Amino acid sequence: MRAPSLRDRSHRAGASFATLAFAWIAPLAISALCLSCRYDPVPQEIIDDLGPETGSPSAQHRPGQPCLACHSAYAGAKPAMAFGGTVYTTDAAGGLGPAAGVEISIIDWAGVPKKVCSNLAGNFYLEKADWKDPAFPLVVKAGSSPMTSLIGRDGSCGSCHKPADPDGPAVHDPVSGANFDSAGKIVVDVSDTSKCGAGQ
Amino acid sequence: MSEQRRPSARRSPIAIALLLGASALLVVVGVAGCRDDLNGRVTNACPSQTVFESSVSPYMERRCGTLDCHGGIARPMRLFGRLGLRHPDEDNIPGGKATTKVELGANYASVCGVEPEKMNDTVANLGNTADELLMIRKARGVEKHKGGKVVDEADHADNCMLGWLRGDQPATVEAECAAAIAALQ
Repeated sequence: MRAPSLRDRSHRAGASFATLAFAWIAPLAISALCLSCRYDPVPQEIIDDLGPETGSPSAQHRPGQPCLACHSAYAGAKPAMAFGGTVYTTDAAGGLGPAAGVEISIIDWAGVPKKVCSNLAGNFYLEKADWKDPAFPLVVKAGSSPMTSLIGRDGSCGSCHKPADPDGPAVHDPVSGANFDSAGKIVVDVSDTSKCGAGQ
Repeated sequence: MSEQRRPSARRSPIAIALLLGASALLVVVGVAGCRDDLNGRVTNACPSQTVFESSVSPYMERRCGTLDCHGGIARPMRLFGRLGLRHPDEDNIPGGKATTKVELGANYASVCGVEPEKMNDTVANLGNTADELLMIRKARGVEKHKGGKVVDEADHADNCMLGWLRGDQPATVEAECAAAIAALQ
């Protein structure tokens, strides 16, 4: 059997280098491709429109915003949420302030009941780990106020209970900000506050 | 100096005929495409507007027309109503005044316009192909539907929509839709 020549060895070394490079580059390329595939313009636009964080992320941050825009499989913010929103009540000056200690009860279409309390910012949420697959539509009650409509598919209260579009028709409910395409902020009676939880 | 004839310049009668035929076809297609019918109207039938507005729309508004579903301004088969999206030309808010005539008319146009030709066929064959419509297939979960399965075959809600599509007696449709609404409350 012939001993490998210098040229053969050089060729093999080149091939090994190419194999090694391919072994590194291919997974990197695939990862980059997968990351770019993750981009979804619809949720991304919602996230971008929320603006920057004003404090540090906590259970009390970003009241009134659609929680699941970020606390979702797409954006990956922790904890992943199944449901979340913010409740308000009228303050002494007649304005709106956070409603703490309000019990929010939710029943899904399979009859599974869930309860959660609002914190000091008025925020409330249920983690995905505690409610993996709610059966929509949901029936919701905030304090003593039942929601007039069902929730069809969105666990973010803030998606529908949103501030009025400044470019849209005039606001028709000066308290909640409800408009033709917005249910306005969730406003509960002041007697519904401090009924549950200590709030965080 | 001798002339040399290029072989490619030769055309057989069959090739010439094919070329002429293809040219004629192109001209015909081109002329057909330029027909001045941009303002033409096609009228497709849709089942009773009266029955839809009095019976079917109230069910669909409640079950399908929430702000996060077909009550979304950008959603296909957009539905207006008291419990969801309000007509932007009117001064109403979700949860406020009852669904208006303008909104009911818009809902009818919206549902009829999802598949106008198929809806036309459904009217023509008295509802025999109603279960092929997207509004039924999606509601039943046969077709992919972001809102999931909404009705079971032959339940009150299914009968409410199918009864309207089949042209059943208004009282029958009304009873089915009322039962479907009651189940949501």
